Amino acid sequence: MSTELHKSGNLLRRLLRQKEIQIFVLLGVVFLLIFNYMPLMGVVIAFKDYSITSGIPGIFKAPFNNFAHFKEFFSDRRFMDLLRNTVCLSVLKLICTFPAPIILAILINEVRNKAFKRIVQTVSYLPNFISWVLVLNLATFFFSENKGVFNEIFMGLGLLKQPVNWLTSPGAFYGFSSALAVWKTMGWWAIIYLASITSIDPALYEAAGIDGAGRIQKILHITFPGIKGAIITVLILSIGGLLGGGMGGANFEQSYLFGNVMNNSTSEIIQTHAFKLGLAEGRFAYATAVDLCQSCISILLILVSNKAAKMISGDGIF
Amino acid sequence: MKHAHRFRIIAFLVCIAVIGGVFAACTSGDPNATSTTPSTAAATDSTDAASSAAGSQPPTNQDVVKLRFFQEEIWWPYTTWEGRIPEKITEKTGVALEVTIAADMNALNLMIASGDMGDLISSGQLFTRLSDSNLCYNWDELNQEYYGRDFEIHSATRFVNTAPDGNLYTVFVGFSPDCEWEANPKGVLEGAGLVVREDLLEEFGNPEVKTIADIENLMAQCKAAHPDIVPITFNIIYDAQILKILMGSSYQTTGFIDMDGKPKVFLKDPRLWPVYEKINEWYRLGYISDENLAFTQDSQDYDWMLNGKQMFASFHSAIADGWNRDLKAAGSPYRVKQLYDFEEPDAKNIVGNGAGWRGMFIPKSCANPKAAIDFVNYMFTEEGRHLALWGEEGIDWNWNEDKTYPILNYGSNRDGEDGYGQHGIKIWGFLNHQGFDNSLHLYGQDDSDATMGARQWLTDIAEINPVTAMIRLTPDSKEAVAMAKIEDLYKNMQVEIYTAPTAEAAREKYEEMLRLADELGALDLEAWAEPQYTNKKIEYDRIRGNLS
Repeated sequence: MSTELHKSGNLLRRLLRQKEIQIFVLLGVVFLLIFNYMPLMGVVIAFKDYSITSGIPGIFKAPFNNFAHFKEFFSDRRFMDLLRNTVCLSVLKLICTFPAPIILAILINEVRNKAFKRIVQTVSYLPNFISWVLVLNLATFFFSENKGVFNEIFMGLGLLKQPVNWLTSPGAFYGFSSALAVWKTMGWWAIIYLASITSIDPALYEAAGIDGAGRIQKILHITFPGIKGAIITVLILSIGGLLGGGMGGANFEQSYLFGNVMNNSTSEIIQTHAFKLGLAEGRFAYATAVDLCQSCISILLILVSNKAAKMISGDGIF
Repeated sequence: MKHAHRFRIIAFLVCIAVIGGVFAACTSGDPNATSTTPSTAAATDSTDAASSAAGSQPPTNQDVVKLRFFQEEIWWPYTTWEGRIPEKITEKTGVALEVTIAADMNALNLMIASGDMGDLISSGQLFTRLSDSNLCYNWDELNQEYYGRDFEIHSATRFVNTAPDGNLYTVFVGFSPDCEWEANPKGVLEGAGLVVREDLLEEFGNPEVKTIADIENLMAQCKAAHPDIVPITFNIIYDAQILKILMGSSYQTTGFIDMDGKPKVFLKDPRLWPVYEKINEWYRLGYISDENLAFTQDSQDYDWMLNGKQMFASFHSAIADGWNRDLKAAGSPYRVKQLYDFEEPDAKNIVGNGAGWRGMFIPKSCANPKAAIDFVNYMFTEEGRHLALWGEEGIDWNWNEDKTYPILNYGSNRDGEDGYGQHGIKIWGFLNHQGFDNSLHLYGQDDSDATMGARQWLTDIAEINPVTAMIRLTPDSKEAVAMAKIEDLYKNMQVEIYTAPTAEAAREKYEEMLRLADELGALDLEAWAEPQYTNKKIEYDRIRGNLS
């Protein structure tokens, strides 16, 4: 007991000693509370018969509804489709977008010509700054069934007999979305790994070279272990945001923009469902309940992935 | 000492930052904050619409009340209330609008939730949501308060627009009672239409296109001669409406239809199946492309036509006149032809939105309800309506000899810079029009023959029943939820029927759609709607012939 009091006294004294700095921390904490935690109170409408006409007071006054929104979502005729699409799209995007920037970073690191290296790095992360709406227009131009550039080229070369429906085929949606996500985000995430690579002691490479290690061996035994921490951190963060699209992000944007009535059976995900049958209909409580389900799954995934990372490599983020 | 002073400065700066942040988070948008005239000054500052209309002194700049006007339609053409005609309306009403257009379809719902809906709202989607005495003023209440009378409107129009609680919160534009239609024989309905590329028509011998079989013959020839041209496209909004009209089926995508005097959920029309069968056949013959069915934007078929990718386009009745202007400007070697006067025996234009399509609401957050109702009152006078539609009588237009249609003094491109645009009148931006007069200004215009011809044909075969549109679903109710799910089902399954690999598979999909609709609550919806539909129909039929 006395030890605990002693410890808390020490902590208080340390905080007081750092009061100028702690005030800035406090500022951040206050902002966090106001902008990130206070709005969380609104989650309660997921359990209530809330109508938007009752405004903000209605959040607290509306009666509880015995999980009616959750029951409605779980019994929706498309629930299993939505779950399958959300999980499949997310997992496929994770599988595609997770290794791609690692490989790109290692390849860029191996380039000896500095000018070329800089050009490759710049070109590879530029797509990150293009909005998904613009990506849709570019994709339509290149992949359209009717006079799209790729179909025209492939058919001109005799590689295709008839145009491929990249943008409308249900079977193409997961793969096409994942490929676009890789193209758009690979260069951006590679920056983190490149930064991590620069922290590796060059003496290790020199020593390995003296010992006769080739490039591949240096990558496998020096570069890769050197960025292991960054890889695990990024992986855990990606798994936490898995249902939102992970590192590729933008599951909602992709499904909403690239989704259409032709590929709807594979493009409709939980988030677009919440938007179309929740927000757009003014059913904020239902949309909240649906998104809350997705958030719960995401939290569970981040806990499990952190635990798994600790078991496998001994490292985790908390 | 120095240390303590530094601490106080830091603490002060942090406090300012925190307070600033809290204010930023909690700002709720004071309804008076952006209004140039406080509500307390309303009664003295605003101009009485009736007296203005009667010719009293126009308001000075200081008298003008600025109302925050929110438009739910993201495509509404006005972004500012500028130009000679809007300014004339301001002169007449004492009201200028500060226009805000919805950024997306959720904007108005969010505004409702926030409690601040500005001073005046225009909405077509949220009739039942906004027809709530806690959210909006009713027009009779305001007129009683300021002028001691109810809002003046035809009894049938009043009946069509009366909310479930018996009040009148808005009047949707686009509805005309029978007497108005009879008094205005030049009035025509807008609606779906079909255009074809003239150069291809000529290439195939310029045949008459009067039946579905004629259309099919031409599509087959197009497919054979030009495999890179898509024989027909369906617009994302108008879909295959023209084919549904030709085959006598309803073309609604929400709500109820009348089947033998009873309300049925829109997709239950049995006349839809032959249409689906036909479209499925066209799809299997390669007349329709997957990419067209996946259109997500209203302009995609327009782009295809400009790029020569299609032969027929199923769109609306004013397409040829508009597209031909653009094709000419783009230097295209071909033009399009609007097709109408079809000779299909079953052709029928079942007008499902016959109760109007958009209206103004005065929310309780309005800083100056008197100015708002003055504006509304004026827009619903004949003078206000004509001013908004055509401009100033004697300057911009004059009646023809028997006063049945206006003759405009504009250039051919009326909605362009040389026409309406320069005066601030914008097509589809009208805040009030009747069912019959939206196209009246096109009558007798050389460059609008095709549009008027197509609309006259749509009018000749029209069946207008506003009562089906009067079965309004209460927001958040189980009926509204069921209808939203049925609409979603229809949207997705209709395309599965279109693209089924065989006619049998298409039929199976169609039957599955009907079965799923029942499972989602279509039968309950019909049982719920039937008594109110029956009562409203009896009452509407009783008053529809009234002269006032």
